[in-house]
Amino acid sequence: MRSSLRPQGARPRRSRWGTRSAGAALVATAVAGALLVPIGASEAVAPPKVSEGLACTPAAYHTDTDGTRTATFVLTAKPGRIITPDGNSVAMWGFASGKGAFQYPGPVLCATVGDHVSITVRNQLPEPTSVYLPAISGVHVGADAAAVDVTKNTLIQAADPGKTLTYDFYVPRPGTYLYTSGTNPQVQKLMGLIGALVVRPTGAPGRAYGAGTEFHTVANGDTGNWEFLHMLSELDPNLNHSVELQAKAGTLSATHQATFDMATYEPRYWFINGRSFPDAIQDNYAQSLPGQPYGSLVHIWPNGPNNPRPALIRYVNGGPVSYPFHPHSNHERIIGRDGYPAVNASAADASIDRYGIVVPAGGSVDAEFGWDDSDSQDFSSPDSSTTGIGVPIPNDRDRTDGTYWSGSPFLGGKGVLAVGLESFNECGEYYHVAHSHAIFQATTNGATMGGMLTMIRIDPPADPTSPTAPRASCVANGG
Amino acid sequence: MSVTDTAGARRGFDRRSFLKLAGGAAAVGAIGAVGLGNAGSVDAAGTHPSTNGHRFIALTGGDGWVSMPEQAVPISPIWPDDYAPAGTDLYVFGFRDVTAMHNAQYLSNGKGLGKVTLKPGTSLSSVQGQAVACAPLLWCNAHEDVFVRLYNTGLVMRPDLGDSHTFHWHGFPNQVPYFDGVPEPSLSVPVGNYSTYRYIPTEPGTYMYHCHFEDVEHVQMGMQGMVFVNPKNWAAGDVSTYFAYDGTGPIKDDTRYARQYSFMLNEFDVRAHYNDSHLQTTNWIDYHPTFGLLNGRSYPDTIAPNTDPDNPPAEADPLYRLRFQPLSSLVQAQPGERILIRIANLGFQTHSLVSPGVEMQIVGVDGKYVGPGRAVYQNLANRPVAGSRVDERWLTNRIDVAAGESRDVILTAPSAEGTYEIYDRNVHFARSNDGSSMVGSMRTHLQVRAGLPTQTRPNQTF
Repeated sequence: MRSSLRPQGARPRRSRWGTRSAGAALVATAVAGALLVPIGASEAVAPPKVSEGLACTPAAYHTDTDGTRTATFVLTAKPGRIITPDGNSVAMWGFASGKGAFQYPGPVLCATVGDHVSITVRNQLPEPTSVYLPAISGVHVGADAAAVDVTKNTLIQAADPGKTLTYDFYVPRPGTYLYTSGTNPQVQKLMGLIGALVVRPTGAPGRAYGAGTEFHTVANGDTGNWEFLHMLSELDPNLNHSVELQAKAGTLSATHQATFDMATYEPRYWFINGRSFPDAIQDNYAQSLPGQPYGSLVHIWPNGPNNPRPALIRYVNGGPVSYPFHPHSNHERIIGRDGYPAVNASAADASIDRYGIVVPAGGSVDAEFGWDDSDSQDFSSPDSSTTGIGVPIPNDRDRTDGTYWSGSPFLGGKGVLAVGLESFNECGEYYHVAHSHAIFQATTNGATMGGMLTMIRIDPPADPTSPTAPRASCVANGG
Repeated sequence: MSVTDTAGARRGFDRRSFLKLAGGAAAVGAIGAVGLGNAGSVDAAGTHPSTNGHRFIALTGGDGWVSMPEQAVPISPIWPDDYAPAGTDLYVFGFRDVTAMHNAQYLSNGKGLGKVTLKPGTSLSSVQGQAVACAPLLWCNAHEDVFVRLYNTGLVMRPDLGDSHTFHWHGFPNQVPYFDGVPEPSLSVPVGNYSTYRYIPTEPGTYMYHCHFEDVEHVQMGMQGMVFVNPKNWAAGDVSTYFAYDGTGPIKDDTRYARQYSFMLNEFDVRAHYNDSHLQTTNWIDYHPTFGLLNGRSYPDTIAPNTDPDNPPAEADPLYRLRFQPLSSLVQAQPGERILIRIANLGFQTHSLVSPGVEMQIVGVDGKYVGPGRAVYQNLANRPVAGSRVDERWLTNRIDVAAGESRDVILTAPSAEGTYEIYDRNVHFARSNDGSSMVGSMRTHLQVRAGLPTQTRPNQTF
């Protein structure tokens, strides 16, 4: 399922923003190149495991004397920068994995129900910071229960600059959880100190919750399970710039934290996994995005005898407002929220199928997604005319072609595209968009087709006439 | 007299006219070539012909002018828009229903869609610059073969933009990109051309449609409407077929209704509309809407009767103002009648509609029935035992709908005749200066009275 799509720098919209975007793309490339060297040289990133889909940061496991398996993670809070598709470079604070480079969002921590999890925060920021899991109870620091100072809405147990602190807890149930800074929250969350904790059922890594929530898994090979993360967030670059200046001025310390007048807060960038479209559909660990390692392309085949299981999409909201997310192509089945499965008191199935997935601030939504080829579109009906789809396709001069289109309405088909059009389509695969339907959030600083928007990619099966044949990737299919 | 004629006469040969001549000449010419003459009138019932399981709908995408409530306090200098033709005050992009301008050979003899052409003597140029808000209410029955032809008649006010348009059926299950109307993974319709979308919905449900080209702008500017799918045996005027859902199984009796209404929720940020009519750009992160809308109208226009843009009221008629906002939001019921309200939101904010004293049951969410025996998700191995998903209906007098969501609501009209309220809690849209009437917001009435005739089409009032 490795994608060879490389949309960086491409701006598919033919629009009045075109001139500005084209210039911005050049700036973005230059910034990316400049950032690669210092970050890459000083601290190595863990080698990529999967190019698409949820990319777990492996825990260091050991067994305690009482037999409990302990998953150990180290999160280093440090400054860094991200780039946005309009060419901006924004100062951030983020959680890095161990001695790894700055990243936004923080590493995806994967654990199993019953694990004893130990998260050590190493603070390389100029003010105190912490790790806070709002949906997990029983977090301890040493012998003390982690507690919130209600006068300041901050965790009492925080690491001062240059110090470390370890948080311990047991993960009680499967689900998707937000972790974030619990210190100076209105600044530190928006500066980028957010990440996801994914907890899988014991002995069932291919399931979201109980029986009936299995997702498509690949038994071997590196093509990856159909398990995807959509960490939603936003930022106002004025906040980040202000904090950057305060840090540079040396005014921040263990006792003096960064401030920002939140009455002036107005977000300009919206992200899925720390990236805006089109960066969002680049592979995980794309070299052009050194501080933004996670893509969000949802890449599947149609439902079929060889693909009877759906994809699992784990939505987490690390931002300050709810986002009304709208995946095109099909409803999704919501099977869990905030780490609780969608079952009623009698354990009966209370899942619900939605084309609007509202992800509340600080919350999570786990959703299944599958797509049937032609289930609802019987193109062989008596009205199929010359084209087989029942409608005339305008010739290439009488239409505006999209850059992700194959030129054919059929999955796996190819057709004639407008002369000079650069198409990203490889083998007649389908693309659908998925985005916030507060559509100004699906913009990059106001420019359309950016921001909180990603794509769903549906590949043609290897041999549609032989449904029992093994499915191959788009590239292997000759694309 | 058309709006464009009025505008041209009022301002003479101004910047707009100049741009139209310079940039829009090719587009106008292409459309003009299709035919000459005046538009035919839309079927008075507002329905689209369905023959032998086929339904043909034709829309134009373009621009136009509409009217916000006269009682609203002006937002100087951007609203009322100083470029607005007489009787209007706000610039919009929108769709216009031109189905009635087409012959129906395809529908009667099945000889192919290519045979569907404009009737002799009709021309799409006659509706240029006369888009409606919200977009025309569309519906069909499950299992029908639905064709939606979209013409791009250009932006009369902004020929410099040359924007393409698309038809995106928001939420359509198992959609293929070609018919999804998103420009990047498929195609869009340039000025002066058309394309045809095809849908075969297999299950009933409430959906919406909008243009996806430059989506943040085109949706906010008004290219948005509701489309819903009746159960396959639904027949206009036959109350025994009036159900919202049958799903894959039997009729869901709890979705039975005597009358049905639709509320297309939206907000208008008048600055963006002013910017578009005045050749300015809008930074969309600065979204601060000023009017709340039900079906493209703001209270008190919401409770005015339906209008017909093809047979507009006389200029002296107070309803002349609303000739391009044809859809009323007045809910009428006889005492004790069951009423279905379909609600969809294509604004960018969440809205909370309340009906004080009138309890409602949510029976559908995002186009799916949520009561007992509801269908399972897809044909996947994860399906639980058929019918085993729990009842997710709920009773309430408040409906919250986020951007891009829909709800199907059943209410039983009170036994006492009278007028009841339905309004959005988002009261900051109120633009009245008497402090109480909520002019400019999402507000409408539920009018309960005896003696109403049978409803033969959605949103029909008497």
